[in-house]
Amino acid sequence: MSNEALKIVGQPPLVCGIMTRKEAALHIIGGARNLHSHLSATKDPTVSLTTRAVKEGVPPTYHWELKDAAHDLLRKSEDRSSLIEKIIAATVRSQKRDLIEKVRTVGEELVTNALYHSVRSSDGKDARARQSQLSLNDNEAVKIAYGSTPEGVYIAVEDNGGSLGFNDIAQALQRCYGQAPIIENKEGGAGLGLFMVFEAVTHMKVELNPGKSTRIACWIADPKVYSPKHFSFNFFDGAPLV
Amino acid sequence: MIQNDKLKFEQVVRGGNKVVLLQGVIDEDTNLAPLLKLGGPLTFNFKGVTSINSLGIRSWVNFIKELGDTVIVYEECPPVIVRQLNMIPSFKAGARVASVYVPYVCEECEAEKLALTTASNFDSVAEYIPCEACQKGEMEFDGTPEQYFAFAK
Repeated sequence: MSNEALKIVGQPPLVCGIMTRKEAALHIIGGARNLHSHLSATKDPTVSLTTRAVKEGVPPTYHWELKDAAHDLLRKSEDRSSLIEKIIAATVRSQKRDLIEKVRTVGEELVTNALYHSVRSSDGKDARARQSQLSLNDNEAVKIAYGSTPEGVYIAVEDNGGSLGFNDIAQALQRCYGQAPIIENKEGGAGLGLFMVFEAVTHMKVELNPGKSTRIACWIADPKVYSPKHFSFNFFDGAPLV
Repeated sequence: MIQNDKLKFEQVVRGGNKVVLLQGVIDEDTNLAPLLKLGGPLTFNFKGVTSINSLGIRSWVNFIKELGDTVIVYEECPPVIVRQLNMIPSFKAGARVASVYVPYVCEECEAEKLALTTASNFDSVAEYIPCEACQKGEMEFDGTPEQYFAFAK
């Protein structure tokens, strides 16, 4: 697979069907912004929500985006680890190692991206140095929502940078799913972390408000109650802040 | 012992071989440079590694690359490391994986166990083992052998 920069033109239709995670990544690399893998995708009500959202340009609220989620603000980078452990304690109801690891991975990677890779300077590079200690005001702070049901865990992370474009996601997947995965880059972000999140979650929704905010919401199903081939990825841009 | 804030290294010699015991978190603050001076062959023991993030994975991959042709062995890999072995080919690179911990969960009492499994048993790991905690139920392999040992194929 070519490692040249992608150019996405237009918006392909919703992709439905049964597919592996890698097949889904290839669709996304090919420009698919809305994708549902399900045994009976056309009968899945969330597909209807997505179809309407794509037509109307308003991101839907899926059933797995829990309304009674807890909310937190992360103002200091040094508090990142303790906040993630707090999320795990609040959401994983038993000592389920696999689920704990997935929640930790998703929380860690989304929060790290929001802290260090969401705000760009005028030259397009990250404005915040990766190993710097950050102390953010309320407007800059990373917003996190989290909750759970017996079927899984919900996490949503929102930054105030609005710089994670669809091409960034597609290129990250291309780097990691390519024949010779390239992850040794010493600069930049939004690469391996996004790939790890994509691999770990069951449902993923990205809402980009360019230059203002990016919100990534994820559902991590309990491994005992879900089918590995049932997952979705949806990207919406131009969305108003919720 | 070479020590960072979150990741500690301790070098021991076992049977004439250099073994590096890793303990803690591998992330963006991890400095693996001191290990480059050890020379090979090297065995990395991951038993004490509690978590690793994408930046830690990147650091490790670059570190392994700098070791070049050094003979490398990974041993006592916990599930968090096995996940990286399976997801990121360059994390393992040319290393030989001597042993991993296989996770089991009891269907009756939900007790967990990590069972150490050597390479010669990767393709014959038990799906069920007796639960020593409740002595009633069976502990089930928390995963599937095909996925868990994909790195060994």
